[in-house]
Amino acid sequence: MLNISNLHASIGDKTILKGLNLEVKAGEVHAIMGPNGSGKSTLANVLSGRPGYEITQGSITYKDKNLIELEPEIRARDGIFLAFQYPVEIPGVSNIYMLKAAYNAKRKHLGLPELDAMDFLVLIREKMKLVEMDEKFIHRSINEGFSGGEKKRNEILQMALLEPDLAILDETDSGLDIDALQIVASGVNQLKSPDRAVILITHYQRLLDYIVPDYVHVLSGGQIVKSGDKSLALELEDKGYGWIKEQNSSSSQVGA
Amino acid sequence: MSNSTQPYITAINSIANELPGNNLSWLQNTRNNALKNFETLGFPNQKNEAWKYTKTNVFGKKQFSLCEKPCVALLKEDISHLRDDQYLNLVFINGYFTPQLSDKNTEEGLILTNLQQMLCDSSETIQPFLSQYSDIKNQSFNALNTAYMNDGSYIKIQNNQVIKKPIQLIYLTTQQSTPAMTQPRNLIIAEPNSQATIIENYATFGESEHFTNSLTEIITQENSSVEHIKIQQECSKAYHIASISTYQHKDSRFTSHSFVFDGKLTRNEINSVFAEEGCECTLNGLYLVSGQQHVDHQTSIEHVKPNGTSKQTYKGILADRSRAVFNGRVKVHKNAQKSFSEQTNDNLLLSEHAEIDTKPQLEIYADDVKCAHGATVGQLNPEEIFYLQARGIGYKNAKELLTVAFANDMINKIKVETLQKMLQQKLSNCCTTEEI
Repeated sequence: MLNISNLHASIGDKTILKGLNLEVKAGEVHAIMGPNGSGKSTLANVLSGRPGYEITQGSITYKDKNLIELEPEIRARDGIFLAFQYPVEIPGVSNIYMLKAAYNAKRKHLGLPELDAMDFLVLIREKMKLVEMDEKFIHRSINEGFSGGEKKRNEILQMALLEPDLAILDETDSGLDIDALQIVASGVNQLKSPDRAVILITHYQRLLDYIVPDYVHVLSGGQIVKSGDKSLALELEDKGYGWIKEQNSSSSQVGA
Repeated sequence: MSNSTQPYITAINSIANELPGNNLSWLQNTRNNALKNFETLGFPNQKNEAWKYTKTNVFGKKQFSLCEKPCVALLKEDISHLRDDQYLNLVFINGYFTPQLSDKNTEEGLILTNLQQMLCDSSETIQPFLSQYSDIKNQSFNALNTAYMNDGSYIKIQNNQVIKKPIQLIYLTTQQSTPAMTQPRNLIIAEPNSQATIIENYATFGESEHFTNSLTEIITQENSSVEHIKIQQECSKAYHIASISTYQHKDSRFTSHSFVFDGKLTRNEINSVFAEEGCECTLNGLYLVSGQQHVDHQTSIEHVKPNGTSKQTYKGILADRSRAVFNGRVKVHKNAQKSFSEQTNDNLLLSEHAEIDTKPQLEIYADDVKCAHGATVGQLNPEEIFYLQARGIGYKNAKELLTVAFANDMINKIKVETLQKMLQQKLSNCCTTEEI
């Protein structure tokens, strides 16, 4: 589904990703962990098409297409979903208006008829149950005055509605108490299917107790320096990121 | 005497004998004084602080003549986009009252008629009020309007009456072969404890150059409430100068909403005087300009007596090379203790060539008051645009959505549902046609 090869990306004159390789197949859950500043969020931003990043080398193919060329909205309609680390507040635009516009934009892209207001309301009510969200939230302006947990649940609601093929969660678990974390996790778990893939970007192992990854990757210095199964996350939790750095520098010394 | 005003003065003199109520000496005096003032003042130039950013030389150059009476009879269907059967409509075509397009007054406790009728039949009723509240001495456009005073509306809401139906004054200018003008004049009196909603709707048929110079005087007597909505949707070749002067008695409420969607040059002056205690004045405005349009709002609120509240909220969206001016003046007089006043002016600039000149002015002579003001000028937030894109909403669409969102709360303040819908439609049309 997604193939990232030798990806170099920079913002301004600062190079952040320095030769990143990653392959994600349908049905898989990948966790990407790493210390602050290692490039985790840059990866999420580059995949979703956020302006301001320059790709200087390498390639990203998604569903056999060159992803780099596509506008962010086309990526979204084609099944990529980014749950924002810091969801944006948009005063004056109601949640339900955006949700319906987003949902119908995707339907149109897929050649399906758009849903009218009534049918959409039925659908969104069902999805709101998944994230245990009160109906009043969808009539409020997008994320305006929402608590941190409510914002993240709103991201998961959008994800549940749009049913992406590739969901990228950028530190969705940061700042959540355990109840909200479980709601987020169950939203992701219900999305999981053999046709879909999930990339979990996280700082904490805790999330992986609720969403079990097939692979865990450690990102450091703009590259994936170590990959493994879920036990790697536990090992990281135990030994800290310093361990990876040490291992990495010693291995590169050996290599030299 | 300046050359630019001469053609107007000659024109007024030539029709002076035909103006309604020309046999009334008090009215003749009012008109003559106004004409003299206009002659002395001339059109304001940019040395005048209140006109620093708005040029008036076009009025000297173009020499607008009075609109002819319309020769083509319009049907109600022709103006169905303006008329609404849920309102009481008073329709003026080219400045002339048009009874066949207007509604009969069905409301009890309401006098709703055209001004000409009043001047001819019951001038003594309006004599104590007419031209008493607007500044004819220093404001040349007010003086010009008063010198011409020909027709417009007269609205009186009687004691304790609540008028449910909104009253709509439609001022429509039709296609003109030469630059032409209208001078609408309105007098609104809300008697004690009365309440009404009044809409002034200015529009054009066709795309010809014309000039509207309107003047509205509003008196809100004790504990009355007037909601005034002014819509400027004349064509892109229209010059529109409008003045609203409100005189507020004890505990009265006045709310004004100004919407500017079109016009080449629009200037709205809104003044309110708190003549007695406990008055409340709320001024709201929304202007959307593009191309080379120019819009100017000048507000002035005089807190003369204590316990008054004034709130002003103006928002603007400027595209292309358009320009907007906002000058909000609040004066709290020495005795006006416990006054509360706030004003904001927020602007969204969609182009680097657009320009806004915003100036809040607070003059406070009392010591126990609470006053605040602020202005913002900004662009669309790229983070918000990207967030919507990341959900599949196209770039252009996302910008439109955010632009509408910026302005929407001004429209949501309108309680008349059909009008709110019409304004929403108008807003969304403006946001899609403007190259944003």
